[in-house]
Amino acid sequence: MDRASELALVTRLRRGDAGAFDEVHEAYHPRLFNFLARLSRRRELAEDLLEETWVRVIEHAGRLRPDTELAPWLFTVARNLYLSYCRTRVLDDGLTARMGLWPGPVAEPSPYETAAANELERRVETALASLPRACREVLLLVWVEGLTPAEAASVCGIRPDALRQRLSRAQSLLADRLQETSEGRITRLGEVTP
Amino acid sequence: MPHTHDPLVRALTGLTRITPDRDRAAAVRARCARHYAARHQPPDPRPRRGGLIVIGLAAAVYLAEISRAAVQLFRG
Repeated sequence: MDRASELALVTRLRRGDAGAFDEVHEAYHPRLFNFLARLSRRRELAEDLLEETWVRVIEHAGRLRPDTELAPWLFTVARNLYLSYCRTRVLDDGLTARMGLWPGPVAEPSPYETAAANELERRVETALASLPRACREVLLLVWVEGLTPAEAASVCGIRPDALRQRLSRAQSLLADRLQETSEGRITRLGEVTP
Repeated sequence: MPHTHDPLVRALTGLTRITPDRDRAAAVRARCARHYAARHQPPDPRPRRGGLIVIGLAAAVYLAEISRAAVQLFRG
């Protein structure tokens, strides 16, 4: 979507144009789900969070700034909802790691395991899901969802140079984890359950 | 930023998309669209029937009180 079309869409959203909401939903629903599914590592949770994301969009559509960039805004809403969920569930990567819940065997395949098309992709998914949330989200935003570093920085609430540093660290960590999967140290992805 | 021929970056950009449940997405979209339309519906300019009844009753009570006061005044 080019910038002129996006600005026109934002204007229509602000005015309450139902067709504009449909267009935004169609354009971003799959992307937001893809992001939330890999960020949360739970399909059902991603569905719930995405539904709440759209509720928030409806509530705030009338108050959007005319120059709003839709992708960063929508991903910010989705990400913040996930973080709120984590805070209320008192779940974080460190806690699950200390409790030895990650990685571990799962009763059913995780959303990305079923989606993985080949062994390499499976290993990448496993390694990606094993990363701390802060590393995982920058990789998802920039390389999987195609946001620019500036947009991703806006979503994460950090400066662009900090985002670049985090991205670089995340990529190094992912490479290390991939090496570990090839050596068999991380064999299967476990889902975090409350 | 690493060049796009970085195999790690290529692997990430090539990950299979995880698709949402189609039926649920359609249901959410329909529900949200109704909610969105309801929030942006212009207010009904016509006066509500219930309000008219209240105004009418209040006017009737007011006129009755004025009439009673007028009768008392004329009777002295």
